[in-house]
Amino acid sequence: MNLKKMKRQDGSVLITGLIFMLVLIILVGALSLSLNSELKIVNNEHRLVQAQYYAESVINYASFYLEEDVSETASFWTGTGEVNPGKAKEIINKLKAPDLEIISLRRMKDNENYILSTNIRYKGVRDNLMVTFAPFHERLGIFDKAMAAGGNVNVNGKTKVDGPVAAGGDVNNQHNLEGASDIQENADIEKELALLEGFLEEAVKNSGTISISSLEYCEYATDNGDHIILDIDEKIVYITGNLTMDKSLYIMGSGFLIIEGSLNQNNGLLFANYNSDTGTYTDDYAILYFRTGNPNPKMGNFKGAMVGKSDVNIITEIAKGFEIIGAVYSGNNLNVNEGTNVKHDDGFVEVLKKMADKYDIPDEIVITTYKMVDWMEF
Amino acid sequence: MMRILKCEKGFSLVEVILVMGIITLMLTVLYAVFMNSSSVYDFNTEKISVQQDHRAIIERMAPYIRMAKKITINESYDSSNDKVRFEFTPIIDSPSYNGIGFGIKENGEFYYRKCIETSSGDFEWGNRMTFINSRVSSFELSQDDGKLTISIELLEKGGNKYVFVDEFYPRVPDQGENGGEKE
Repeated sequence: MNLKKMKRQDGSVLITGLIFMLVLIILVGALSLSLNSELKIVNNEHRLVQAQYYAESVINYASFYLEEDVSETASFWTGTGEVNPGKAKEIINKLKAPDLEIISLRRMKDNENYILSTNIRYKGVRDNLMVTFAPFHERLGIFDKAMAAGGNVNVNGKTKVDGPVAAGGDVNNQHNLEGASDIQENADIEKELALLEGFLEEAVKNSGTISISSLEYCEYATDNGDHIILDIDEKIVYITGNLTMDKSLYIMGSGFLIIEGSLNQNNGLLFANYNSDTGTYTDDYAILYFRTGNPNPKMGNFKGAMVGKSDVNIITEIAKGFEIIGAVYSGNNLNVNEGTNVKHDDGFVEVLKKMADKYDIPDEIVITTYKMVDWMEF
Repeated sequence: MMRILKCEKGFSLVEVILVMGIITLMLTVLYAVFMNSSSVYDFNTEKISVQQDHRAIIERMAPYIRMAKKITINESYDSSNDKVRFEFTPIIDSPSYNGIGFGIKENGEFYYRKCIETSSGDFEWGNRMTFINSRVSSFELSQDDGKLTISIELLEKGGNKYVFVDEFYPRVPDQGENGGEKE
């Protein structure tokens, strides 16, 4: 009888145990369902965000090939504007994202702008992104200066400057400088001047450069009795010797005149893009570059930029109404003598750009960069 | 017979009081645990609800912030203007729209409104649309060096305040009046 009761008590323990187990199973099941659902939400969020960043990365990668010519071997783009399939795989490898699928990556041109659009799929989530890039032309800071020198700017007499002045060293006798909008000393411009000089050095080496020993033997120079007219329009004229002047020289056109030797200005003045008959300037800008020596140019009306690798001693006769319209740069010291009159005009930068394009001169003076101007996701 | 009588013997008063005391004690503990769990559950439910509302606001705003070409933050605004407006290249939809504004209504409801294309091809700001349950007691924005910081204070039914601060980087740089063109 006792044994029977004992058995019944065993039974109730078993039932109680089972009920506990059931409750526990239900609890664990509910927790697991809840966790599973949370995990799904988090995973989905993760995939959405990841897909969005992958789309952004794909566009970023492609933006390095914005201007690439499709005729190049193994180019990034095919003729239709779609990405080369091999390059799409390369992007996936670079991103270390084997689950990423680039359904489409396309480059389109809209006037000057480039449009990149992509459609990607990552673990079942799709993302579309379309980004527009517009060109921005960034140029050297010295082009905004009327006068710039790697060393000192020595103002040796009353001078007039309409624009900013910058010197790697000091600007001495500033009290003589009238009208300068900004005077900057110890300016970090040495590198920029070196880039400009480097660009003009590349021009000297260019195969299209016209080398002459002196003006007498130059077919583009015309002697008009009291002055000589030199046509440099869209040309790189390189005088391999000295430039000797017994009368005034009128440089005409937008181009480069590069002088290897000294400037022997026995008589006359240096003019550029100025018509003395009408008393007006042309639309052109001449670039005059002295490769060696310390030139002492006596200026008439000069429209363009003058660059000297070493010291430059400059003078314009302001009393006679002469002026330099453009800029004056020196790799070392710039000595500005009494009567000098410089009016800043950055129109010569366009000439530098145009000549760089025409003669395919590698340059770092005007850099075109593309910046994002529109971003669309849908 | 004696054995049966032995089995039918009842509990003594002391035993019954002791058992009832133990049961009362256990019930009290259980009740306290239950009440505690219940308030934790209510708190968590409220927190989840607020977090969902915050996420709904951010998910709605984020793509427009990335796309925005112009961001206008107003210090004071009314029913015809919004706290913040994002303007972008028209999004082709039915109807198309080229801007979206966000703000708080007088009763604390958080809303958005789109600048939709009218039949004439012009864009006009539409009606304010509420899209979350929570009330918003504060919605502040600030811009610093390309970074947009948004601070939202959500108010739950229980009166608790939850503050969320998010930072965003608009992808298109502010192009100003002249469209960002420069030499």
